[in-house]
Amino acid sequence: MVETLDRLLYTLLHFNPAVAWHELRLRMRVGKAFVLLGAYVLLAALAVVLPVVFTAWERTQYGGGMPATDLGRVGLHALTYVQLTLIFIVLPAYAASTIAAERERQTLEMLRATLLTPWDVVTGKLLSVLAFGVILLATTVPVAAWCLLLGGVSPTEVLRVYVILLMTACWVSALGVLMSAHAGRAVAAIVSTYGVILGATVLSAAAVYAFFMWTMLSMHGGTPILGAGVATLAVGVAVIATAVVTAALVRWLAGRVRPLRRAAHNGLLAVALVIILIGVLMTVQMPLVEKLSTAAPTALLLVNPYAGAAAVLEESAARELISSTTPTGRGTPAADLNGYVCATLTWLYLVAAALLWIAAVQRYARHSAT
Amino acid sequence: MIEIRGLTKRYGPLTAVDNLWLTVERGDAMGFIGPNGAGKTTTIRMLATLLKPDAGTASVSGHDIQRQPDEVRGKLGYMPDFFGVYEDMMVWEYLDFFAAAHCVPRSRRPGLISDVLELTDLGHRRDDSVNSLSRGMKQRLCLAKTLVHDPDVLLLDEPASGLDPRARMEVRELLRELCKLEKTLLISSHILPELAGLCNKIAIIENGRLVTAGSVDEIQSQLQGGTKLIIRVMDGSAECCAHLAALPAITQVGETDGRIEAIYQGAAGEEWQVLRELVNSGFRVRGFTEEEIDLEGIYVRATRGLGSDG
Repeated sequence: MVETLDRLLYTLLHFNPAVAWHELRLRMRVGKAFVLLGAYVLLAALAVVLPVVFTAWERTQYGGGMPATDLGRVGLHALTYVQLTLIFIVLPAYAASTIAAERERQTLEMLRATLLTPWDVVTGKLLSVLAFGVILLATTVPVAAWCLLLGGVSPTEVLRVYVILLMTACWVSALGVLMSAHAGRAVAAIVSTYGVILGATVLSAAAVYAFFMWTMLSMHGGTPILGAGVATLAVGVAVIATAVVTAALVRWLAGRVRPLRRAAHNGLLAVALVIILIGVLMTVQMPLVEKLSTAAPTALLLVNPYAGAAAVLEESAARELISSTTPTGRGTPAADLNGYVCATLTWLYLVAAALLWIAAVQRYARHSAT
Repeated sequence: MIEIRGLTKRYGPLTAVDNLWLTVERGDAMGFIGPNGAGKTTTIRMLATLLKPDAGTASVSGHDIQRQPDEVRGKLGYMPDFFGVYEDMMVWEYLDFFAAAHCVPRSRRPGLISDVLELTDLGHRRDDSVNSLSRGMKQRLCLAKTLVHDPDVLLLDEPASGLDPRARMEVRELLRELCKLEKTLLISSHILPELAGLCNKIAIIENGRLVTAGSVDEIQSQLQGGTKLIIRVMDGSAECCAHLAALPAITQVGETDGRIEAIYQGAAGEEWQVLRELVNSGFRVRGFTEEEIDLEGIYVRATRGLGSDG
């Protein structure tokens, strides 16, 4: 039966699943994977139990206004954010070590001399990482079910959270595999994947900070553009700081590192310079910039790896995200804001994952053709 | 068969392989000999479609390495000089993976795997972890994976490097078996004796250029010109050198730390006359041996014999 599957994959998609089977076989071997899964479930369960117990205790103690029926919501929130963080920690480590580790172990040469194409290798690796991600998510379903029992959340909400988590797993895996195809060593690949995720979190947080600073200053009658300019400057500095810190981390952890391609290096520098330039322009007050940049900072919210989960869980976050990305402003596009956001983000994350995946195949192929 | 036509590869200012022309006929076992950095590995990696040549081309079993890389990979078994193995993996799984990577259908794999395991004498280790194998066994396992898709042409890059003498012998035995299988072999090494008894053809490469190529007999007759003598005397090695240099049968003399090396080009089997000459002249000879033909000696003589620029 498996042979039929192999043949089907090959004839229909021209995909040889050898690497996928091989990776799954190696990864699922008792020991490491089992321990990791255990630790993962334990952490997720703890993350739910502790806040739920604490909230319940707090309410009995102080008789807070919230009814006890929404304890499940407290649990689901904690579960989502902790699981998201765990995904950001575990999956890059798994994904980034795939191709780079082969290079390090000197097994890549033999792999390349076979009939496997870059598409077979990269996709096989990506599928195996994703499969592991799915298993990770599946293990916490009982914990989520417990949240359902506690009340306050609907099954639809739990489902949406899991969809967003799965989509996040998709792009994180694809990003890790891309870094792995690029890096010379596994450690470098892992650290650069962490760097990108951390960078995205910090960058968008800084952008949101800038936006709030702006609105606050305009509310208080100050010079809004000056405030926003300063904040944007801060974003530019944050970009450079993140890049420098990541580079230093890579160098420190990995020792010799394949130097960042000149083009990538220049690109990063250009982005930072443009942001700083905008900041300077705004500081010296340019009405044009004011019009252009009203929506820009919060659009960066989309880049935040945590924004999706927040927007699916909380209506206010969903509203924020929609208002920042739709030019019509605060017009509601759908009755169910969270559902709307969930569908849109699913689509966006999938596109991001697909782009990263294609980039990884390209990168691997280019690496091979020297 | 392998046909190399003017293959060239440059790394910056360094030309690793310089306009190399070479043909290995079907069923031939060619020893590809040269010192480290001569361009052996670069040539083999280009043949294995892992490296793009800067100029020239080559074909394997009639398929061009640049235009039909997939066909070439299907016909080719490549064993790199350095390789790793996957951790946490059983011997049969390792072979199964490479068979799958060569698009061998699942149902045909078990038979092929037991065949190559038997050939490489690893049948009893089928279910053992790859990591538990000794170095020599890993080398044989790598050979097994090279054979698992039944290639016509084998490129083996230093198959016996870094092995102890016993494992080296085992690998040699195995290679001898392969030669009987009517496959076309290109085996690289920096040690001539390792290949001398194994290959029927030899190609010598240095600085990316072909020094000489031909059947073992041809090359050997080219080398028959001389023998290297190692002489030790109790004292007066400088005088001994001078004395040796004056002998007509000796063409070259050198001395390091009391060890005198002399190239003898007189009649074969008459080296003892040099010894008699030394003893009669009053030198207290402590050692007098004939050294095995080493690679440097071959280069010296092969290049001189051909009168090329080497």
